[in-house]
Amino acid sequence: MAEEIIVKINGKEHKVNIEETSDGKLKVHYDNKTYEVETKSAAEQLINEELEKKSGSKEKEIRAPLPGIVFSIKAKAGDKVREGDKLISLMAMKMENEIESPIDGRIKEIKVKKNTSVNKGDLLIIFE
Amino acid sequence: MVNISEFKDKIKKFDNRKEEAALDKDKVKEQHSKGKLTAEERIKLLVDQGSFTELDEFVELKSHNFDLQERKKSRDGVITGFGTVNKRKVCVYAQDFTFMGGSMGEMHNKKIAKVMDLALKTGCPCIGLLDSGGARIQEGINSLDGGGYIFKTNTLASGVIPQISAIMGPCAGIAVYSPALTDFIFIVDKTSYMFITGPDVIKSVTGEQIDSLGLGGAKVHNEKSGVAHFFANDEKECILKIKKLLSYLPQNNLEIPAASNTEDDPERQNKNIEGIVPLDQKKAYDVRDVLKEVIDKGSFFEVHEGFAQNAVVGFGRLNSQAVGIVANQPKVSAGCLDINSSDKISRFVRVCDSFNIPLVNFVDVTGYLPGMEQEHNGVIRHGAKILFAYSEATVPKISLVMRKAYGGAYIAMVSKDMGYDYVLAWPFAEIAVMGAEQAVNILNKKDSESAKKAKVKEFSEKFLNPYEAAKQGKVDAVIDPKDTRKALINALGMLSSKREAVVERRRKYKKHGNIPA
Repeated sequence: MAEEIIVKINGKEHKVNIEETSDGKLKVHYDNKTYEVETKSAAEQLINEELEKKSGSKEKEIRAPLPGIVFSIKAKAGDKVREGDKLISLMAMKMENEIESPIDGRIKEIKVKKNTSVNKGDLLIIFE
Repeated sequence: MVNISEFKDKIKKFDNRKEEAALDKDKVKEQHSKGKLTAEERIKLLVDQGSFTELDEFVELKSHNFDLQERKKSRDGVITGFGTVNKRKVCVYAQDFTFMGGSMGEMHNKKIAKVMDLALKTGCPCIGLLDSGGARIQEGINSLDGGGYIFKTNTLASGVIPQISAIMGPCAGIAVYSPALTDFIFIVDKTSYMFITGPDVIKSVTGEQIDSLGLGGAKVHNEKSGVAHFFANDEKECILKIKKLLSYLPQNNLEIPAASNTEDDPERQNKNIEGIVPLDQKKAYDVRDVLKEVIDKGSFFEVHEGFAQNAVVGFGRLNSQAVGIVANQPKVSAGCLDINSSDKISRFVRVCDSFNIPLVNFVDVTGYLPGMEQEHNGVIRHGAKILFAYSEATVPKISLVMRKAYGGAYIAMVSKDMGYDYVLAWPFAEIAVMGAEQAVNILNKKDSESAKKAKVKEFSEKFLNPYEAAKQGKVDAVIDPKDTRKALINALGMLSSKREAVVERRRKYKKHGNIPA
């Protein structure tokens, strides 16, 4: 059964009818014109949504990958950084572990001070 | 007398049956629209042209539950058979998602176990191309028992023939456990996922909201869970990678991997190492650069690339012979050993030992990662797996200490007494129980700072070198880094005929060891 929808655009009413054809496409009747619309399968939609989410949900923070002592901080709040820039050096397991920026972006806040110790998972840097 | 028309009639009926077994065209279209190939197309991509022989083409489901008898079809949703990949025999099965969502019914499962059993009897690799929603619910407990048959066959075949699984679509519920019992899992990005319970069940039980790919997609299993060993952007890449992996593996546990002529000079000097490895022990580098410099050009094939990146494991070739490489990665978490890298290393070592692939370690590690999180999650039992795996392995075991080998990590990755056959060290290697400052802080707790400083110097000079270990025969040779390739190839040549008769005999009298799983 086609369902009729009334759409108001700039004060003018338009009649829209949507009808599903046997091959899964949609027929959209808009006033007196008819458009055939192809919809995506659930899997395709899932893939697209997933891709969008991935590009949209960039990491907004850096957490300590292992317990150690903050040896040096090479950036400050407000700095514009590029992906791969070395931001903090963490002395752990007798080595300087360079912590790099995972993104291109601007630093909002640095949550640690030099010579303080951090645990694995502690918040180090927040991006804007 | 031959009745010609009856003969022709029988052949016609046979042809009709074959046609019935063919895939439903509309469903094929649907499969393609999801960016997925069909089971037939996947097998065609994998095996050498014209080499495939199908088995059990006329098998169909037996159950009379619900409407199953009206829906049944030849093959019962899985194509099984044998063929060759680069002229080497393999057994293959590919689940057909277009038939009842690739669901695993009683006969479907029997077909899979049967072809696995053929691979086991004939000593050839078995490759599964999976695309299934899990158990066929309508068939009830018979579908579950069939799963049990597959798992048992997987387990019996483990360590005898290489078993490879590729996830090329959904793989849910009981379908996940067969891959998990095999040696390697590939998973294709965006179209594939693996989980035991899906998003709907999770939502109703725990209230957590997550989608299928976020729960068990290719990235999740390659980077977080470590369930998958290889990531593929699409199905073609996945199948090419399977072929590449096979090139490093033998047909079964009684054979050695075939050599592949890499045409790289075995005497080639490794002059680039001095530009890769910083002498300042505190500075990190990418250990892959060292591996690529030393082994045959273009031969490195990394396994578990995205998981526990503080360790690097993979296959490579030295003088054209396959080797298994285990390296600490100083660039990530100081290359420490922790829960996940212990799992990664021990599993890889056992695969190599099963299939007669010599092991070469590239060591630069200060130890196991300290911390409550690690201890409470059982770093003791996970870390012990590395000790177990290496101690048990009878393949040639070579270890190269590049810079640091301290404490427990030294035992795991270098110790001659634990069974390493040949230990090499670069002249700036430090082999000790721990770093100088840590040692002095423990041994000379009450000393003044200046006294401690002197002690640190004394400790460093005494222990932080390869010669103290070499004096006692715990390092077989100290070598110039530029001679690394030559030295490793030389050692592998010597060890190629290695036999551990005592260990092998002892194994016959016990069922199996008890790995701290």
